Amino acid sequence: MLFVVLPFVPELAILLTSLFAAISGCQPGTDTGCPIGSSAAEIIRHALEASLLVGSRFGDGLAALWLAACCWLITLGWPRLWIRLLLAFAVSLICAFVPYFGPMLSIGHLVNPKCSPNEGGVGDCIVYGGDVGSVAHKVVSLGWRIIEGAPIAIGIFVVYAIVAGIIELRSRRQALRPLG
Amino acid sequence: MRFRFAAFRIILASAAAVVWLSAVQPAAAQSNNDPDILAAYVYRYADYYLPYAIQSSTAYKPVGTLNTMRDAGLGEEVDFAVQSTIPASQDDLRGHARRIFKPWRYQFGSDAYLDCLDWADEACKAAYAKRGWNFGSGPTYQVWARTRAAARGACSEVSIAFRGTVGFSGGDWYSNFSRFGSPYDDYYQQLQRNVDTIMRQIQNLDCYKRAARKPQIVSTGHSLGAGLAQFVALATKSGGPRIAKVVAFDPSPVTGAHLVNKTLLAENVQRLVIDRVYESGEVLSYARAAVQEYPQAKSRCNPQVRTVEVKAARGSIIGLHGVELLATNLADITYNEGNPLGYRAPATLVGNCDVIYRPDSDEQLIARNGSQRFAALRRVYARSAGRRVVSSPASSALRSGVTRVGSPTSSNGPDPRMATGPASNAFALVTGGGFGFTPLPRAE
Repeated sequence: MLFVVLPFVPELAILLTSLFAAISGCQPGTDTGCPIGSSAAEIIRHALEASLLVGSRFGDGLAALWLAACCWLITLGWPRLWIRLLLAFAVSLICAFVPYFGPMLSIGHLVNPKCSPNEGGVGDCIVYGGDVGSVAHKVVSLGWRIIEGAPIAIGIFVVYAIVAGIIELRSRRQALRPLG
Repeated sequence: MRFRFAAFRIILASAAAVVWLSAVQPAAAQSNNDPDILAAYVYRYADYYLPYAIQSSTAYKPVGTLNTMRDAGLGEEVDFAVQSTIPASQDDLRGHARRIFKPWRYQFGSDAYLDCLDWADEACKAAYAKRGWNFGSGPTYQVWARTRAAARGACSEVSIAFRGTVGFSGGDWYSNFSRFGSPYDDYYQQLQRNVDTIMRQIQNLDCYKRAARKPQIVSTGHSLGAGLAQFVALATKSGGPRIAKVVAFDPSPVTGAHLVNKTLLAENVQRLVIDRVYESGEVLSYARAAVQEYPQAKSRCNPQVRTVEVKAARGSIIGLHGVELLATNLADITYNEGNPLGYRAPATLVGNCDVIYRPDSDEQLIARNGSQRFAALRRVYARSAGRRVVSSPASSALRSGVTRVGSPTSSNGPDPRMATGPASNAFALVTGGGFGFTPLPRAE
């Protein structure tokens, strides 16, 4: 579970920062800074940069390694085939979607008249009194990388389903042999 | 042993075929039938594409802001568009871009869900009745008109600029992935039932009616907006006015061609030009290579697809996918220490493929009349402006009456990448103002 969540820590950091900012009475669209840590805007900017890096690397192929590691852990942890396949499918869906759309979703509630992230990179993005910078625009373009990421995730899941099926068949045959 | 020898022959033949194909490819790429513009030559045409890049960038700004500026009638939208596109740190480029963009005026736009713009349109009503589910959002577009030099209040070209994806807008992203159709009433479907009304609205513009020669209608946009811009060119109804040219920046691989019936599609692509301008290595360049919807990049005629590669920035594939960056680079590469390098429109006839689009008549006026008028104009403008005139790199071609587009800038011989055609559109820009365009009330 922890391994699945690990790549998405930056998004969680953004959500938590916004939560603390809201509790402190800060508004995303105001010009005054929000003193959480150094500043809420700084934390969000760094977290967005980290999530952009994760998403880009996942699109480059890291998704295959991460998903293969997840499938291996699922095989070790759950003996039943249908549970393995169900979990692998859920993790594949997460892997196909969240690295590319997660950063964008995590700042969705911060959109205000001074910050309208777009793939054209047009305009500033002021959140909690600080400029989040061009990274807010870049996470919108990151969504396009699902074109590379989704086939990787689907491919790994299909391969895992075949491998898990073969393992299950072999183990059943071995279990039947002493009886025969 | 015999089998091995046969296999060896097959391998040898395959290798020879690969070598032959790789040798043929560059030769084909340099023929006169190729409209593409390589990165090394793009600086010659960058000023031509800049106004469309500015419009595509401004499309990300609220339509309401532009409506207010239009209603004020002071031409503020020109400054607003340039400031929205070129960063404040590039002030000299802003001045250059303002001069290029000066003739353009914002007309109207929309950023709402498009049910039916004209409820008297029965076809639209029928299509609307069969619509899918929606997010309540629609394609954002802004219509700009280029004022004509000779006749005040008349325009020579009207451009529809479409906005790209904004944030996590469900409507935008569903439209982005509407490659094979969807149950969702996406932007392509909304535009399909309304495109002819938009064209009629354009025909009803004052500047359109005043023009002695029918203004050309072009469409432009960035990413999703570029996909929509291509779609409206493919989907206009038979018999009405057509889109003459599409200038698509970092375009989406989705063009919505699957929604248009084949007869109409075949009619609309006749003599159509689609220029796909992109920063080399941007994120969608790979997607276009893999899953490009009709028309493909290799289409040389009906429609003529021109690939224009800009290589003026480094960065991640995500970072390179931005119209602000692209527009700033286009402004930058034709502007050298305070002087614009020249203006040239891409060839209108490549490989005997005729196209509807003709560059602005003001440009043609200068291009057609050769050196005498050209030199006279230079003197007049230099005198009136009291500023330096920068010669066009293609002025030698104009003087000799040769209609060669992409003439050499040096004595190194003709540029093999560029085609010979009947319309030479090269001329010089006078620093400080466009050729005889109606001056802005407050552009400077």
